[in-house]
Amino acid sequence: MSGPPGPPAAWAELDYDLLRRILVQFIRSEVQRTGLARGVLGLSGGLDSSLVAALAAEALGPEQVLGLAMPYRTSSPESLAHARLMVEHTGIRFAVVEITPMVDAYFAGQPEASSLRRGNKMARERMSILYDRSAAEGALVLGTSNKSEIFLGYGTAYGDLASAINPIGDLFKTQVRGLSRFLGLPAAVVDKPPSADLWAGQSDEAELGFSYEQVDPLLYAMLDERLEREALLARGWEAAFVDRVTEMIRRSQFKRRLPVIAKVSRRTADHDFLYPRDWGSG
Amino acid sequence: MALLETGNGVPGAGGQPRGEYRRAAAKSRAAGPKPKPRVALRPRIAWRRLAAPAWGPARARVPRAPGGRVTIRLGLAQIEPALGLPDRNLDLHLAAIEAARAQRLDLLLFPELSLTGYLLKDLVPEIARPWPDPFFAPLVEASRTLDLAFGFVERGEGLLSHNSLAYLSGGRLLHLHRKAYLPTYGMFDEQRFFAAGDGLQAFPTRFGRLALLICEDLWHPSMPYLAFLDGALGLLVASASPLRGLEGSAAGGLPANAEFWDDLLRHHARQYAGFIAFCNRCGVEDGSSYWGGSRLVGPEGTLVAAGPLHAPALVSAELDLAAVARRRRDFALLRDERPELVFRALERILRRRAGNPDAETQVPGSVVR
Repeated sequence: MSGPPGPPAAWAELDYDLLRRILVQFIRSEVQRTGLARGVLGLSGGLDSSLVAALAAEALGPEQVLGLAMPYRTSSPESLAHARLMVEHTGIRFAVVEITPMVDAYFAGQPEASSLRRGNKMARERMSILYDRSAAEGALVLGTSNKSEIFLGYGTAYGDLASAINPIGDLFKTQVRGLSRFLGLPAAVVDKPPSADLWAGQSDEAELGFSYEQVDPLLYAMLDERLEREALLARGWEAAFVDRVTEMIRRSQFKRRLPVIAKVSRRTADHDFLYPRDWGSG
Repeated sequence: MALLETGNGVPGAGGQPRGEYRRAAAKSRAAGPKPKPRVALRPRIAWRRLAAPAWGPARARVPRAPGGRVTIRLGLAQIEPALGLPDRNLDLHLAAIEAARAQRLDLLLFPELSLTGYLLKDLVPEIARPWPDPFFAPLVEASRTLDLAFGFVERGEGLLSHNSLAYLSGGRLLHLHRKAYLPTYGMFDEQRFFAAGDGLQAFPTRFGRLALLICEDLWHPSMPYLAFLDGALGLLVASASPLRGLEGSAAGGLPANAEFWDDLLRHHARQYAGFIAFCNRCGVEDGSSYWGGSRLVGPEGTLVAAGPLHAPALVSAELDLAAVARRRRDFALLRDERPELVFRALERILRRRAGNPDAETQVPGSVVR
């Protein structure tokens, strides 16, 4: 399952200060051009949302950013503690909204519901709360999905994949960690194993079957360098690993697109009605 | 070739023939008739290699800026245009012009599509304006004392939209360049929305002969080649280059495509012994971050001035035009360039690409089966 041996690739060793400036400018520009000044995000205590909170605090000012912790009863108490740690670190505003009552109410008559269904419901419950709070706040929902998750399909459509703008969606997980270290985020957050925290003891890497350190070099070679299968094997990756990741990318393509629309008119949304998203927003 | 005699056109290419060329022609006639080319060329040109001008580089004239100076104070307005809001962008232009006036600059270059923003997509035909148009009046007025080059969506003949760059001087339009190479790959989709320009032409200015290019134009070797062959002392390149690829940046290097730009600018300036002014925008549109980093490169390929990355700025420097003459005196590649050879070879290549088998047999020494 591992990648070819060797020193860290150049793509993992970025000019993190330049990257920070670009992402801060992105958040500031995309929020302000809508006429708003605030951002709201789900602050799970994990690495991705912690990094977005830190970037948003710099871009908008900490008082303009609201972090929401939305624990379920099986969520790890450590996650909430880490979210509070990030609030202290960044100075952003913070609130806790328990999602246990609504999720349990929904599944009350369905004891057979799988962990997957329950996890997806939790993710979408959080999304609906974030969008509601964004309306109340006059804020944009800031996305916290990274490039590794997005391409592996390791996220819930209209759940944690939903957002108005996403500053870190083009960063692999290892780059998220690199930038977080550069920014001096607390070690307790930066160094812990990644987890969606949908149920007790969940870990991304146990669920996926490989670590981000293993898969990110392969994703980079496949996505950014556009290497063919033969070239990937020649670099030393195992065929089974390459094929599995390829299939994960293919099968999750629908999550990276808007819903497909049956085209019957002369001009269709997102197909040939092609206006920029930032159209006229300055 | 008298490429330093700028402002008058290249002799033999539309300019007034000079004595040296007449003498070269007479010498050629005296040498007797030349064998006919094996394939007729259109247009028919009596091919010959022009003799080097007798006046030589030592007498090369350098155009003088107003006041007799041989320097030009050049400004690069690294602005952040608002997408699809020309009125707001016009204000940005006027503010930059004020700042340039305060610095007593001679020429101010803006980025690609500086009046409209870049990622316009279906807004292109809606935002297009013909030239002339009352909208441009404040810029035309401003150009009475400060030469200006700025970008806009031009509504051309047949209502086609072009990605255009205008050069204004003395209260009038001196030149308009339509982007000839419209990138349609990767994150770019220009050919869907713009019609390509059909040419490139250097033009006389009060500082000498210059040429305008827009972003991707410079990535195609034909464009700087033609511009300098057409007598340009320097290029004004307007760009909207979004950042791609931070790989390698940890060692203090530029992002991947910015480094490519830096290489291109320095290479072409050095290769053709001309200066290049490159103005790139900054700001964010639809998630694309434009990296700024505008550059002024001297005729030896040296970086004269550079703007900051990802931030607005007015970058300016004084450029010694005599340096172009000195460099071309010492480094005569452009003088020795053989456009007639290029023309013949291109003609043959076009025939080969059109499937004409004869095209493989026209070059001495080429293998014929």
